[in-house]
Amino acid sequence: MDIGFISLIIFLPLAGIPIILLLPDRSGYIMRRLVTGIFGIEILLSLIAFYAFNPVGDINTPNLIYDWMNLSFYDELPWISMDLGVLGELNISYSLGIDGLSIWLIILTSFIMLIATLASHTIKIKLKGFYVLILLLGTTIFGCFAAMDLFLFFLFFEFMLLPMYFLIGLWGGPRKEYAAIKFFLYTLAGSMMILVVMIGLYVSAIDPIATGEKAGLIDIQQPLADQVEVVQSELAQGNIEEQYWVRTFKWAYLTDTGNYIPNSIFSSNNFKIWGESARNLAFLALFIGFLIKLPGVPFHTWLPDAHVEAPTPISVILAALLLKVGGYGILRMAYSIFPEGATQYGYVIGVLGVISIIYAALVALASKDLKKMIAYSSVSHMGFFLLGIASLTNEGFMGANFQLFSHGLISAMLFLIAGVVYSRTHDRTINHYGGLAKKMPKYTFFVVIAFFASLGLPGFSGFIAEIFVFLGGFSSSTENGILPRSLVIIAAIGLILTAGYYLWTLQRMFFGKFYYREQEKERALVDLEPVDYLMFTPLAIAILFFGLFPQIFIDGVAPTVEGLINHIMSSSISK
Amino acid sequence: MKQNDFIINILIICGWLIPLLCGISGIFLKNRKNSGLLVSGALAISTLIHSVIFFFLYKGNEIIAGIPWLNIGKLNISLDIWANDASISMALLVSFIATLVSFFSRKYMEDEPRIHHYFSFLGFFTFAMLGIVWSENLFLMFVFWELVGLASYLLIGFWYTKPSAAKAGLKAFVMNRIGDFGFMAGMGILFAIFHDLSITNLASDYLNTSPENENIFWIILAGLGIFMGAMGKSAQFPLQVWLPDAMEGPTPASALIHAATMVAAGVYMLSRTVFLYIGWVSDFIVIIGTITALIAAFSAIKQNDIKKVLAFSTISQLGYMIVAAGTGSAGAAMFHLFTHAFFKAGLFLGAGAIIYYMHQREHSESDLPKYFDAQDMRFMGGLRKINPILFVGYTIMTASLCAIPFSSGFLSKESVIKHALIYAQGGDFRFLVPAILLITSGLTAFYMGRQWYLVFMGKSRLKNNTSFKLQSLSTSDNKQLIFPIAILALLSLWIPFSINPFHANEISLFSSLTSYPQNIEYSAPTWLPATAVILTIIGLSAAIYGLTRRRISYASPTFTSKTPFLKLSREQLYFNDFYNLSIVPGTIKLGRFLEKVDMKVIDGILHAITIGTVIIGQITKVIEKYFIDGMVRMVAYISGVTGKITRQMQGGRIQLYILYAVISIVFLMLMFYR
Repeated sequence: MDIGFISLIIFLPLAGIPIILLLPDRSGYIMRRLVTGIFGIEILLSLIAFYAFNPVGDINTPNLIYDWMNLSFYDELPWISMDLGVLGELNISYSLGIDGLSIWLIILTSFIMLIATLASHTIKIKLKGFYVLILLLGTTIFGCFAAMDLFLFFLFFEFMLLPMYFLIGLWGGPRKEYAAIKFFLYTLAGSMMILVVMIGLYVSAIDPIATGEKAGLIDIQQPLADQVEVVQSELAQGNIEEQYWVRTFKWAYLTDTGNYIPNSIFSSNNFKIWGESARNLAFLALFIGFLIKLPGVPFHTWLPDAHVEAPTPISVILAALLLKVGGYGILRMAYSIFPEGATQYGYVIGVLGVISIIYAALVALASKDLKKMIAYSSVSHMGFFLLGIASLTNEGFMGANFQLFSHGLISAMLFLIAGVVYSRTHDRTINHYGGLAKKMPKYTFFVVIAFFASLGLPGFSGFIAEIFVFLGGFSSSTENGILPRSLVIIAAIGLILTAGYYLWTLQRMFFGKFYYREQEKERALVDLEPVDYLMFTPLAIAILFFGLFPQIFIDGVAPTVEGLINHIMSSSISK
Repeated sequence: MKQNDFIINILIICGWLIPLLCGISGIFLKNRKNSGLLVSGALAISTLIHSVIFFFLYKGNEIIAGIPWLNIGKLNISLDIWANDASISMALLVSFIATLVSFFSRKYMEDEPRIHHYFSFLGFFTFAMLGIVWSENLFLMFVFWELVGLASYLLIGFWYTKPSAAKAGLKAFVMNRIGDFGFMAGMGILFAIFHDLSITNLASDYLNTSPENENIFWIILAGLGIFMGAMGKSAQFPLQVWLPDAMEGPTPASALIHAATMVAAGVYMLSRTVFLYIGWVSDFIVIIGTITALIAAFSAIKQNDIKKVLAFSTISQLGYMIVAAGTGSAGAAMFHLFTHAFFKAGLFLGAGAIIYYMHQREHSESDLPKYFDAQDMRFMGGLRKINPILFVGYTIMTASLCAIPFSSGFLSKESVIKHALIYAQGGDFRFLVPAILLITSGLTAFYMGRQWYLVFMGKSRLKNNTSFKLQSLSTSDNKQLIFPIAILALLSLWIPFSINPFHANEISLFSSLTSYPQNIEYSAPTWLPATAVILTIIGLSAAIYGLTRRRISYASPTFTSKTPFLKLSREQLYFNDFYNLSIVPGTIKLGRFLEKVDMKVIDGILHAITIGTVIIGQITKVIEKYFIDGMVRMVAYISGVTGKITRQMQGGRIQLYILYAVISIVFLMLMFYR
């Protein structure tokens, strides 16, 4: 298993693009088959990766020098290298790797992309462009989850915007332009913050191995760990001249303050901007940058608009995958690179999480549009993620990661559900329906499963995620004192509200006497079609499976989570 | 011994899973009717297995075994079974009642097109309840706790096309969720402090906790949280409102919810975790239980729906159990739970049989009153004639609920009130607890006497009852309805629990019903049962005397008593109105408000920023046009003008150039020679 294999996972969707471009526009059926096939292969590939994946990381990885990372399949290739003379060297690498944070998200990506492709049968216009963009989107999401170089990650992260913007803006609902531009600008604002931090990191951090090699301090044939320490201490004493510095964006090196040039902006907490340490500001900038994508209150208002306007498959991808990139980014970038920020702002993050949970749940309760309600429920559920990572406990982190995965499955199902009624009547107003259970019993069956899974009923994956977050949140008070218990108790009110809005929707839309506002359209309300089963059944099975056997998920993630927490804790203590 | 344990574990798991598996497979049967047979059979087998376990393991044996499930950080959750006398008896009770209910249901629900769903829910319900019974750790208990909530939601809302049923299901689940919120918070606090959720480990942790512990506030609060879970499931004040509405479900399902599953779960959990309730929480539990017992009994006296009366009686009796648990006597609570399970299941099945009969009448008679309701007791009367076994059985079980001597209810209620008396010795206003419980037992006798009289005594209050065969329930066809009632009536006598009809041997009973040993030294003064019986007789005679003197009218369904006091009872103390008019709309309004905040404030700020950017852009445009461009143009203009001027200098005439040269030389010479 090497870098080529992961590259294959990332770039396989691109291979479909030329074929689609050669096909005539009316052969949508073939296109859908082709894209389905590609993502089917992706599932296979990601499962092979999972099979070969070692939760505690590959011990024999040549360049890996940090134990806590537990990275598998890590490899790096030189990509952009520029000698700047006395200013040292700019080095951007093509490094890829998979660890516990990303393995399940990669599997989720291939799975959801397949489901979304199946759901694309409702798209009737501009098929060529649609499928090209879907494939492009797939590549960027895979890239985000596998990139181990900040520059590379940012490239994928930014590139994700392009297909998404057009997918909402061209195939969306009545206010598609507004939603698309809102989504674009919001995310771009976040990206700018990330970019600023990236520039700061560029002037601060060096690649210790390449620098040492250039300065003649490292013999690449010998074991690296000790030699790197030598380089780091020489750097700290200012014995390495600037012309030898090899600046880097490699994620692994950015996480170690030993690789930071003395007196550079991010080298230590001494560098202040407006009286606040630059590292803390950088943590906040990264955090907010990704929080917008997550999204958390108060940066969430793009989400309901984007969801309401986006066509069903795009909603599915948006909720199930793009939000996860935000959560993943917070852990991968903000938490790993500026770990002391995690302890410093843990309380704030926890409060944000609780606000997200309660606030979004209340708005969901008031929403009249089914899809809007589901969109707000996504915000509420991502609040659990925030609470989980704020707790800085094993349980909380595990819950947060489980929430990313489980919400990916559940929200996909929820948006498909919203898509079913919309495709039949072009109306999603909850109050316009009544007693659908009588008319569409099979549909109702899946609705009940998805709703109960989302409100955290045991047996479904959502429960495991939420209960882990809560247990982690509570034990945070005794383990590290970041979150007070009362805060977590307030968060638990979300449980009641969530049950409230889902069951109320069930009662209004599905129970009681059958009713639809426009009688002439009643005939359009037919029960699920075979293609719908293809989407709903695997999702329902997966939700149930991970609810009953969560240890499979946990085993893959636990070492990484533990490593990350140790990393955060040890660097906060040393400060 | 190890081998035996293994076999018993297998048996427990079989008895546990068979109802679920048969319930699920029942959905796929071709002939939906057969699902009833399948599930009833499964439940019967489950009961049989539990009796085998009871036979082998009963009296002091204990097994804790399981397989790991979740493992992360300090959290190690395993699927652990904790079999001891208490859980074995409880499992037997649950499966036994479920079996009788399912047998009854096969007849009662025979015309229901979704009968296969009904039976699968029933199997699932039993499975979930057994899960609570066997669970060794709070996490696992919480899992099944929620699943019981789901099962009740499905059963209460079974006739989902009825808006009231859908609403009742929603209410039950949300009210239970409020309790579960507490359960989860309590569990979280316990996990944070002890890093363990196993009940047996927690019990020993609690023993070692000194009152000076720095976390003592939180430890006590954890107890409150877990108790909140019981408040939801066991319908305690102020979360009791879901239970009367739960009557929207099929009647046999109500019997199951009210007797052995669901509401019993709360009390069972309290008895299992009785060590958690220390400090002021135990007083809180007693107060809640007392209030519940009283207000539910009060609400019952003016109800006309036969099932609603029983529902309120359930809440009231649960209040008794909760009081007993709060006083630390889990034994008395469990004892009352057991006796109550039998007579309440029987009463509900009896009510089901009566409703079945009334429905038959509804279909066969044409000249019914305008507001006829098969469940309204005002349309009944004289029903003792329809089936003698039903009448006798219902009477025995009513007597048991009223705690008349020679019934099981007498024994257990006496035990509960006795422990309340012990509690009252603690001083302050604690004497109010036994006093209120005694008054409540008088009220119980009143409303049950009223029900019994309205249903069975007198003459049928429907006009042309001659055309209908009164004996309809005694045909062989209906044995399925009567047989379970008869069994439950027999079990409502004193015999199963004690040989002495006036006093139960609490020591042996309690040790087999609870998980923790309990010291019982105090014996009740003789005035206690005497007072209880006298109050009961007063209640009964007041009810019957009042009814014989008055003509019972059935005006409109909206008819309510004019006396404000009785209106209060009829309207269930306005709890529903309070929730429906304040909290529920308040929450929704808050949601609408926040939605507006999203659209107006957050998006408003964004739009302002966007517009601001556009305005700045326009300003820049203007600046560019007039200032930057202007400068450029000015430069151009100036150069143009200069060009024009200098162009004229280049006339092309040599004389002019000589003139310029001369002037320049003169000028330079003047500069340098000064």
